Amino acid sequence: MHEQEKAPLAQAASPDLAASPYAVEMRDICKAWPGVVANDHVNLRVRRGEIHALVGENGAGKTTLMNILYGLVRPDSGEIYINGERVHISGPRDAIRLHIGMVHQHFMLIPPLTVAENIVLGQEPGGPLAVYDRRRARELVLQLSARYGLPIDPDTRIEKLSVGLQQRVEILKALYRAADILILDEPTGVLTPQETYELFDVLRALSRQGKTVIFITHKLREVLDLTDRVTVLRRGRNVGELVTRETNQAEIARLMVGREVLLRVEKRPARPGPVVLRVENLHASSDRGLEALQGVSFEVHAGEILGIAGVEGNGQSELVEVLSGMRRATAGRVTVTHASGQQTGKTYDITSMNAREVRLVGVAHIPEDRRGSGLVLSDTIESNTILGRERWPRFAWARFILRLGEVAQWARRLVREFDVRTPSTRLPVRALSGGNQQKVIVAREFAADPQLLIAAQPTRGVDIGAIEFIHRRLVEQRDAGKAILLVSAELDEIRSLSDRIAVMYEGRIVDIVTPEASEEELGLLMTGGRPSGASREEEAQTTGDSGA
Amino acid sequence: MALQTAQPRSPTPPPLETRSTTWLLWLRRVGSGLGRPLLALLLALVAGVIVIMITASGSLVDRFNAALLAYGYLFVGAFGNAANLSFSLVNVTPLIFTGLSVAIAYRARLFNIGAEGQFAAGTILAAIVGLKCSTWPGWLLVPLMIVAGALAGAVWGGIVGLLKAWRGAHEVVTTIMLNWIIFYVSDWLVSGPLQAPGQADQTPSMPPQTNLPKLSVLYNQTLGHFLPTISQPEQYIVDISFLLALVALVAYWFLMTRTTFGYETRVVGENPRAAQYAGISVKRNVVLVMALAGLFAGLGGTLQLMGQYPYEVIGQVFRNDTTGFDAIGVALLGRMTAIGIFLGALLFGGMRQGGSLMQLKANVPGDLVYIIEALVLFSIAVQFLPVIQQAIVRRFSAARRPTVMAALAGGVIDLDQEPTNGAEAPTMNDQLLSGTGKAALADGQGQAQTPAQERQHQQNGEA
Repeated sequence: MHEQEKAPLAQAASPDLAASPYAVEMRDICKAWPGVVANDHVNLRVRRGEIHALVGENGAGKTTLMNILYGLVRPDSGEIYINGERVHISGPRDAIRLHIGMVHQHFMLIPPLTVAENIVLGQEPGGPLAVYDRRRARELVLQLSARYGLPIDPDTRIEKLSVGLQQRVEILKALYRAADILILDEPTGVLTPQETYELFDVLRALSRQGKTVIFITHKLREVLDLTDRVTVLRRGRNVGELVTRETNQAEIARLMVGREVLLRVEKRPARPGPVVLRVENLHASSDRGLEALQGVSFEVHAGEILGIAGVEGNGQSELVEVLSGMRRATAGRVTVTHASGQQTGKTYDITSMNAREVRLVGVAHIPEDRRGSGLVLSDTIESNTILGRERWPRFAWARFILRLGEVAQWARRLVREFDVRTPSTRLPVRALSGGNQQKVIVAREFAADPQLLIAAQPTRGVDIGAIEFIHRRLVEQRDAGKAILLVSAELDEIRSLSDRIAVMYEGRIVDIVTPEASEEELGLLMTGGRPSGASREEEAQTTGDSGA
Repeated sequence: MALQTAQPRSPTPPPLETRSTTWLLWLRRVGSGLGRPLLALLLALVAGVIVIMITASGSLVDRFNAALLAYGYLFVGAFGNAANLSFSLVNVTPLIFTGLSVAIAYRARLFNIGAEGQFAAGTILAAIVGLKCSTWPGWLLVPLMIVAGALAGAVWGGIVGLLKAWRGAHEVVTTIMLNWIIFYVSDWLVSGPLQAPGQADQTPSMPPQTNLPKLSVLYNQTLGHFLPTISQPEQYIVDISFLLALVALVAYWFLMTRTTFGYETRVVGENPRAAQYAGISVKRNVVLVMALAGLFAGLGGTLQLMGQYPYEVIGQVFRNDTTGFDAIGVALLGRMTAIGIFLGALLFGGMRQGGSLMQLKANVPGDLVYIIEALVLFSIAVQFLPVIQQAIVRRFSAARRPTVMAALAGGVIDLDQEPTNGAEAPTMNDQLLSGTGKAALADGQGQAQTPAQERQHQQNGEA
């Protein structure tokens, strides 16, 4: 294992690379957090005008390294050169002066302000003392957006924008500050495939205009599609510096994880049982009062995974929220039927139940926003393993007095079975890495032995090892006869896990296809293209019903 | 155990949790729990010394001695002998109740500035009941007054909860407004319908059968039969409401840590989205928590009315009384824990009592006590700043928290060790014991830091 790692390093030292001065060179960067060495003599060399991937698992030290470059974190030791010149970066201000821009994973935008206001914030035209010149700011933003081919409406408020557009604002913000070196921290984690393609086009165009792009990711396909060179980190150390076209997914994955990784999910054909979840003509409004679901109908059988594909913001989030009891349906019906083997049990109408009642019926839910709603970060792992089920007789006597001993045991069991890496179940979940946080949720929801499992973006932002683990568990649950509804923005994930794929567009299911459907076909459906004849009629019928 | 990526090479993974980890974590919690309040107190005391040294006369040494002397009398005055202690405990009792009121609301991240108002509401309704039913026997009237006072407080607090849940009105604003409403209502009652005949602005005394017995008297009547009795029990004025305050502390502890209500309140306070996800009604919890907060405060007011001379409500007493506001300090100092609130109340109540002796004997103005109180609060508030700051940052969704904490556990740390036999590979517990992992376990700070958090870390280190 160790020999394999050294080979790529030797490759990188070829003299022709050294001939051209690097836009960014970081040498021997070390940074230790209490208890963890985030960067251990890390080197990074990025050539001017290239798109450079920085890859590694969660916690490999990518973000720390970039935060050092952007001045957010002070390194313990090490040197930084920008365009061959030694520099000291003691804050983002310095970084901006050196024409370094950063687009963070979680956006740094102010939701109630407009696009233009966000972009010029801190560097308003006319300087800090002048009255804010709204028109001039608009103009500047429009110019900028035209120059780099990033169309945006400068007057929209950030909170009204999709995630993809918010990211565009972040990029424009960096360009407004005259960034030549653009750092993107896992920019695609929150994007739909379409938005991802668009982003890639933008980045390619920027690189053609001479901008240098550092692209942090742990999605290997993106690395191969987009970048020129790759630096791989593992546990705070360099394990490889590769030229993208000379490598492949398997090699990068092996370097990242330190072992061979199964990139495909292995599963047997599904043996679907009776219908567990039946959704009929469901309507619901979004937070903004728009009709997010406009007559959604589908069924999920026991022992199958139904994937919901679609560009984000087409009603998937609202669908999941309605099904899990977090949002009220305005019309329609949702029922859950218990099933064991081919036998069907009682049917429950869960349409107007709240989340607690829905859970009691046997629905488990992995929410799409794990930090936002799936966990109480400041609370212990123990507490988090009963979230939503705290009143169950198993955990509470008379639904009121917690059986703490039982809870502790339960937490320890879950941590062991689902391989959550932690020294104690009494630690706040915040102390865990993203992947391990997600495992806590997955463990909690799987271990409740549900009839129906709703998994929304179950692997978003977690590392390859954890993705593999969660995928395997999902398939296991399917084979154990559970009905699984999988909602994901990762088309690959949907295609490799699902037994059937329902495509959502503008609050409707436009078609249900087999996973063998080509990516192009799915892409067409996701953007509102014509579906195949038969199911289209069905759809027309359903909408007709809803109108009547 | 299917995934072996970062597992140590040992064939059997180390036990998840051992006695030593648990012990260390506990120690850490206690340490971080006590550390900040003690530091705040220490800072305040040091600043107090400086203030005394400035005002005193004589050489530097004389001035310093004067400061030490003042603190000595402050302590003796508060806890020096049984009589002084009993006077202090009289102050401590309502502070415990109101402190609990603030703390319980804060568990749901609500700032209850209205403890004084709820305290007043409880006192007044209890007084009304006591005066209107003054002929009723004590065994009936005492519980009735207590229940009435508690309910009045609960209603007064519950209104805040309802306004928050239904209309989104901010509790700081509504509690302050409700405070003034009840202050004026009480002034009107005391100078009108409830006014004692022939007296200025005060109610008649509560009927004697409702006066709570002194703790020492109760002792003599019960345990005193078997154990040595207390002579002159009347001089120890603390009444049995102090015992009820201790019961309330235990009830609070139990409620918050051992029940689903406490659990759900915590979820509502820490992450309302998660509450929605879990099917916990945020609105219902907000109302319940505020009502409960009011109940504790109302109980405090009622028991003080029934337990202490002059057993009556005096005009304009509440607007000049600081109990409900000191309670905020008590709760913050006690970090919302039962034991912390007890200690905080003891400190504040004791200082109030000790101040007079200090003034008398050391010739230092009793107002020094207020300076020290203010300084304690100031130090605490400063330490709360990072939290407030984070809250604001989070609010604007600009929060970024790079997770460098990777795998806190697992094989990360022993990666560089040459592969050895499983027995020799350092386990997580060793990591903890060696101290490298410890700092990372600090509450919530195990994560990688933004610069602000990093500074906070350094401060902790210095502390």
